[in-house]
Amino acid sequence: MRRGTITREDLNELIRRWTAERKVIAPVRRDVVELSPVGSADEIAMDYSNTQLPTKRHFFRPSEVLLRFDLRAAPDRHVVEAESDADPTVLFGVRPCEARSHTLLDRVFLREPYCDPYYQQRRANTAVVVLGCTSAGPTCFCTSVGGGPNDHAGADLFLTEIEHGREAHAAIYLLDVVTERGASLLTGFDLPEADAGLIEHASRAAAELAATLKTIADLERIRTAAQTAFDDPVWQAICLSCVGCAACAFLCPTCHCFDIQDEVSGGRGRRVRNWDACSFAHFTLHASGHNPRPERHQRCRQRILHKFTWFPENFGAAACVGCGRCIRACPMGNDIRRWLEAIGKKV
Amino acid sequence: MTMDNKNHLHAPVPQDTRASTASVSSMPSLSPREQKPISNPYLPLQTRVETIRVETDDRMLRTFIVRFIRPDDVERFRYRPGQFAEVSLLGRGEAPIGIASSPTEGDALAFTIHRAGIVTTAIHQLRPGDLLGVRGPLGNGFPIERLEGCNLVIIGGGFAFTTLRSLAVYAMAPHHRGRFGRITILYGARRPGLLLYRSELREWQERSDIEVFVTVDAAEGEWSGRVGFVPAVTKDVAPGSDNAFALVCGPPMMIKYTLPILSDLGFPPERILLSLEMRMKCGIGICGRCNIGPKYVCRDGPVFSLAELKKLPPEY
Repeated sequence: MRRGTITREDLNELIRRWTAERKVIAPVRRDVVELSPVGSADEIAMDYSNTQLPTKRHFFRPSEVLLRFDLRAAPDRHVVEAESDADPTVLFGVRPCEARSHTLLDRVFLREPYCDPYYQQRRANTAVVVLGCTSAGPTCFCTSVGGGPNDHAGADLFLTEIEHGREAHAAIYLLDVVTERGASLLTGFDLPEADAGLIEHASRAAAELAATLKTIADLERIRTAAQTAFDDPVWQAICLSCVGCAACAFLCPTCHCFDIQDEVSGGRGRRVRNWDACSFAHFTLHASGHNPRPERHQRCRQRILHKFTWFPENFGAAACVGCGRCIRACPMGNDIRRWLEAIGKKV
Repeated sequence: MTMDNKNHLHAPVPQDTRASTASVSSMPSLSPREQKPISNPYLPLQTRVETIRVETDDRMLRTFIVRFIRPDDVERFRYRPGQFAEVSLLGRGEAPIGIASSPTEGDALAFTIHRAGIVTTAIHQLRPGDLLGVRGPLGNGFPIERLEGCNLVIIGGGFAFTTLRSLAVYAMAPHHRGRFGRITILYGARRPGLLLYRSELREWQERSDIEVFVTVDAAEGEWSGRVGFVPAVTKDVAPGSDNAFALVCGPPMMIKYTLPILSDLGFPPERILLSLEMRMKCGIGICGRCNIGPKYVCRDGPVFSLAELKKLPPEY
């Protein structure tokens, strides 16, 4: 891995070049910090904790047209494939936990023998430039789930601010070239090698920051909860304060459940997939009226066990990146860290 | 940099789709490479309804015999007994339905569909010549290779007999019959008018190379056959468990009372196979709703052994 240094000014120049030939999506400060297509580097917020919405929406759209149809056409032309909007894109300045979530979603959407072409195309056409964390928010717990402020998973380029500078354009960054795709973003740009002292300084800072993050419950133990605590009353206890709104699922960088619905008018229409969530009772409701998970505690249990037992079993890692959005968004003040502690005591 | 795969979704497959978080360098490349194109698993294949048969006297079950409009779709849709498809009407939606035909019966497919919700109600309005979308084949199907050389005890109840019919027809086909040992079929419904495939059952009962027991919970009309619940008839018939597989599909109550009888007859949990139903959308293990613990019924199932199910939470 090549490691160089880059000034904010040079970075802005790079971004200018990228915007000329592809879409650049980056954090922008409005009422909240959100990801948005940008036309110039000046619009980009580099001093933020995390975006309000996760980056999964860039690859896995809240609503996606799977196909269009026209029932007035000849029978073998009723179905028209949806046109892809997967333009070459740079996802710039996202946090390490977000980039890590992409590698988790890959395991679901790109699992052989099926490959989700909508997700895959956007993923293949998007380079991810990660901005390492120099501070942690009050609900961050990435180090408990395998991530960290310096986690390079899912990054093509990885930036770490090493000198803030008195003015924004004076900042200096360590720039790690993680993948070939990352290197291709730097074509024609002369990246000065970073000296060993700077690298050492940056990794020490990241380690110090990581050390400030408290480790939540022992996830290795929680992996066994499906076997040892499936029928424990703890699920009823934690679900008492859940209203089943699914805000946690929609804001989760790794939740990926969806529904498929047809929309039609005058013989023309589209088949659309929309985000859905296991928090809803109708999610599993059969047409016969039978429901495998009719009770809220069953649905809370499903959410937790999927993330911390079954996803690890199927894909080798927890389906959680510790971004803490679910904690901030819960209208009932539920905190997944407390839930995991409570469950951990039962296994 | 331009992407030449922009306008259609036959997307290239990345080199290593299950890359660990550590090996970030194997992420899909931004530059297009030599990669095999794959088909879009969300697109239905179009079929035309050839024949519609009302199966039950309450008219709630109809069998639709359909044929692909594009001849090469037959090859794309190579299936085995026990698999299912998402059948769909454009503008109404999709529903997961077991394939009732056997691949030994030719290019046409059969779906026996219970009218239960929006999609299946709309499908019940179809007439011969209308179009039906079919996406699949999906799921694992019955493990034919493992069944080979074994006796088959096929036990079905109500309208959950469709994929068992596929298996039975497959195993009875002239060029397959020798691959299996004794074949015993036990099938029951609440009353005679609710039995599926009645004329076919009569033909099967006349065959000498299989044993067929048809029963109803309560007789009516001119019924002269067996009366009794499927579990009781199973106990009565007592099919041998030596070198045998039991394949069971039916309503929950039937399954609940049949399983202990099969255990008593000496069937180990590894040789009792069940096919499950779940609400499904994608059918390919992504959309998240048909899981039982870590298993997805659409992708890992719908056929599971009792031994496998015993390791899963009882959430189905």
